[in-house]
Amino acid sequence: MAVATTSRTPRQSRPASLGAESVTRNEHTEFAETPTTVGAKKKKTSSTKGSGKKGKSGKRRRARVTLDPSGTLDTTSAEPLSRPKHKGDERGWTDRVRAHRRRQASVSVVLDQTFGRFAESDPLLWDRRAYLMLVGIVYDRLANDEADIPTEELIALAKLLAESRRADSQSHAARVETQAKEQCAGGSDDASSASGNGRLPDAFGDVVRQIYGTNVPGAARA
Amino acid sequence: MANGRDTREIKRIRNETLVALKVLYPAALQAEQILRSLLALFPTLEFDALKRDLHYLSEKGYVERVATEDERDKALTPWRRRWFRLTPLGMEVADHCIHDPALEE
Repeated sequence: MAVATTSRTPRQSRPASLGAESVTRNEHTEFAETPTTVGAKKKKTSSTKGSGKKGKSGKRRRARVTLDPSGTLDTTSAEPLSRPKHKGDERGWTDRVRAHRRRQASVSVVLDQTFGRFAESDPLLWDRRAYLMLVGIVYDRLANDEADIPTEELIALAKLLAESRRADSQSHAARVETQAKEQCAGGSDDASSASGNGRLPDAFGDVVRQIYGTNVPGAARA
Repeated sequence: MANGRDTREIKRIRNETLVALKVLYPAALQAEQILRSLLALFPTLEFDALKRDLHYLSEKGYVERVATEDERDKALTPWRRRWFRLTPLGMEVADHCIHDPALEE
């Protein structure tokens, strides 16, 4: 299962860099000691006030300026006045997206560890309602809810999934047996390979043990 | 601009829809759950707008509806309870292996 990361195209991360650029622009003029516009001057004082730490902003300034040695990010007369509102919006958006991505990445790790083996073992499971419900609810609760996940609900759904898997496995085994009988002339190899497709995933026994506290009958015998 | 939303927001919503479904790939999410996920980023988003976007993404082949076994008549399932998952093409777009200008800012 893919893990959602912050990997976005340069275009998509543009808003954040735009914000940074606009800071650089103002500070670039500060370095040059030739502020071209009133807007740039105003911007400089407000950013100094906002940060409250001269040293910190100085560090950032140096780092940014090295990224633009040619000075192509020079300020224009109109931009600084129109920038701040837009920049604030973009920064707010970038922060929100970053926080959301972090949460999604954590959720994907949990989902991957919990369901990854199932998804790999049997693609047919994707269409099963129990599986969808469980995965969807786990994602919903972890990614969207601030409150705790009700354990009872998860256990109920996990049981539903386990029962569904067991029923599927039994019906599939019965179907394979019928097919094997129909192909009785030298069809034993096909039957065994077909039953291999329908068997429970290796980790299924662990899941049942965790939920019910007992072993799967087949697994116990094995 | 469509229904009061600007182009940038429309693209963002569509992108975030793909990202949410990517987290769960190959599993699916209900439209209601997708909406709840998007509300964290777009507090004013309404379900009808998301419905349009799901239609759009489905027609582009990025998202597909998953009908579960107990849905006897797919058309009768309420929209909020319908399941959607990424298609392989949608996964490639979400991973930025394929670039779609309609989804890029």
